[in-house]
Amino acid sequence: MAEIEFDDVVKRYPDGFEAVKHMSLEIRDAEFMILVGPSGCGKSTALRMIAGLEDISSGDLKIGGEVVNDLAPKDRDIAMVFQNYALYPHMTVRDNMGFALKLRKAPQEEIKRRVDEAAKTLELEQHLERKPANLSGGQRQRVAMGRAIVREPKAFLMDEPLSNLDAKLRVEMRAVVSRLQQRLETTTVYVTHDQTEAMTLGDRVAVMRAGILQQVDSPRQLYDDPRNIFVAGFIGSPAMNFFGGAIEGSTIHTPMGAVPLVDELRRSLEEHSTGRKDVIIGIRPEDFEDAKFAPEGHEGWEFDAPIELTESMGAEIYAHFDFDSEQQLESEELRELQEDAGTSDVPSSSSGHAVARVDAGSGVRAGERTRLWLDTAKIHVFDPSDGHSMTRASDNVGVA
Amino acid sequence: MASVATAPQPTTTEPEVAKKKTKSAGPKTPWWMWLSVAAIVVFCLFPFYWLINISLKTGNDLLSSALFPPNPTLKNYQSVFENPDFTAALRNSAVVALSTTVLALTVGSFCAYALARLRLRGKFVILAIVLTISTFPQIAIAAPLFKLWSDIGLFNTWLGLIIPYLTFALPLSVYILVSFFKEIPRDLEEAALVDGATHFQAFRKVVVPLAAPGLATAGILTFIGAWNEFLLAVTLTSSSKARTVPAAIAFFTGATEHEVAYGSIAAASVVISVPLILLVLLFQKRIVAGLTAGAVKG
Repeated sequence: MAEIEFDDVVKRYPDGFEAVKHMSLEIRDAEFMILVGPSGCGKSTALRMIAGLEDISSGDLKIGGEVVNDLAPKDRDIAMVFQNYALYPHMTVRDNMGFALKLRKAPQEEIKRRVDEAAKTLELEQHLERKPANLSGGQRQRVAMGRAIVREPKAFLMDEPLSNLDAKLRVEMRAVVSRLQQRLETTTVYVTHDQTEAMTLGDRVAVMRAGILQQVDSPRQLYDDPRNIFVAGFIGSPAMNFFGGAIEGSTIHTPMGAVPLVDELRRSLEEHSTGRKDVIIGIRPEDFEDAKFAPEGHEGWEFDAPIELTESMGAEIYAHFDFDSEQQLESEELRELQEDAGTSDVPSSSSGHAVARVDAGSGVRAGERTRLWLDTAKIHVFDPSDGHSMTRASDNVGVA
Repeated sequence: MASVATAPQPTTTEPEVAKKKTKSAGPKTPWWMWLSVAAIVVFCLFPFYWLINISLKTGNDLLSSALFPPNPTLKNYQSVFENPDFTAALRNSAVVALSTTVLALTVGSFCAYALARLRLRGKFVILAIVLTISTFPQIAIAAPLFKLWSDIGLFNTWLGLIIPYLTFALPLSVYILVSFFKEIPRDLEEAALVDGATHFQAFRKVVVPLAAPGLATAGILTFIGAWNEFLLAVTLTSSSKARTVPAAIAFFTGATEHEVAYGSIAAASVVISVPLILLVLLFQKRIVAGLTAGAVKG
């Protein structure tokens, strides 16, 4: 058990490409830390640097307070679960799980005891003498986990361990991983591009993009209080809607109309600017509602929206609506976010299109105008020049 | 062959399986195809049959051209094994061929692993050069080697044969092993490294066992090459101290000065062919798989 610390770590490839740029991150002892981001953001590289499978170009990586930059993987006492499991095909499940202990020359009885113990936890007892080729995907995944926990290492590293499983199994295994980590209390670094895993598993989540750490926070914080447009758009499904807008005094002009600002928002905005200012407005789909179902006791604002498409999810309906985009929303951050996420995930600003999540009892229909309600307290405002949030309550977490 | 083919197929209890089989078999093989196959088999195997035929004959029978030996006898085999030159040659052959195989696999797997894994400039060029070596005609190096070995004392020694055999065996084994190593996922080695293995342990305990089919192929081909080699064996040895079987057979004399040693030559040839035939029959699937790996899977 140990804490892991990145101190200004850079990964530069021989061709000059920087996969990880000046990353500073402290992972506390027994913490479950998620590294999340679009593909190619450097999250896997960061993980492989902890494992010692990638060299560190500059900066220090500490495990348990000790700088391990030049330590070989075998001397770091860290277990890793690979995306494709990387089970040794020529060994039985038992030998796979006991391989590390055998290399360490642990006594036979101890290897047997610990493998049996891990197999029991993971319900693999009846498969111990089989070869990985004869196991199902879920079983292989559990063997990979077992191989890690048998060692009782300082930390677990998991590189998208659930991404090869089908959706149902993934949900099951997510719970297994979560329970296991809570029971063992071993520092865990978990790389994923799946934001559901990020939100449900982690004590804290580190969002990365293009090698740069964007925000490190608890899942709740990350969701409620994203530090910039990228985090706001990346976390949450369906993704946050972005609109071009402007702030003038105590109102915020949106394509849907002028919305009065709630006091709290106004106060935090005043710190940033005075007078009229162009901004990017972000509203999560769940902060919309059919006006008929608007929650009582919440400050809100209503408007008419032409519904273009509805998607019924059973418990809720996603209503896609168009709005007149009076000004072209322009932000480098937003454009890149759309590229990273694929335009389908992020409602494009130029198309004047947004998604609202409304109650399943709502009678919204495509092609009709519906009165929608908007929770004005939940509006996010971003600075179009740098993408930073202007409504963020605090900027406490040490992120470059 | 033909009789086997025309025998009725065993009826399977599951009709679906039977249906599948006939589907994948395609159109029925015509009779003339089987006839050609039989002809080719006879053409290829007849000389070997004739070798056995001769090996079972002695004296005047050797002049007979009957399809079956008139008075079959194992006397030739007996005399071959009583010949100290032959038993010494068997020992020499075994030592030289096995040493060549072990060394070729050890050195070859290191070399192949480097070529398969390291980010190396000019990997293709290196591999091409390695392969080129195997195309050199042996006769071109036989004379210079004879001179060199005589000068440095390697003439008529096991080592004097093992070294040139290695130069011809390595290119092929490197080539075969590279294609096998390339197919082993890098993740497996990384998993071993994280599990606490050194690079060498990861190679020995994870990579090598997985490349076992490739090692078997390369090993068998190397062994066969070294076992059968004649030109260098004749050139670089002078006595039963190091002479291998193919060379030793060439020096066979009959029971008397005047007798042509056809009978014992044939018996000795049969004796050294049998282990190879067994080896190849046992591993033929492996050998074919090894030779085509990489070519098909890319």
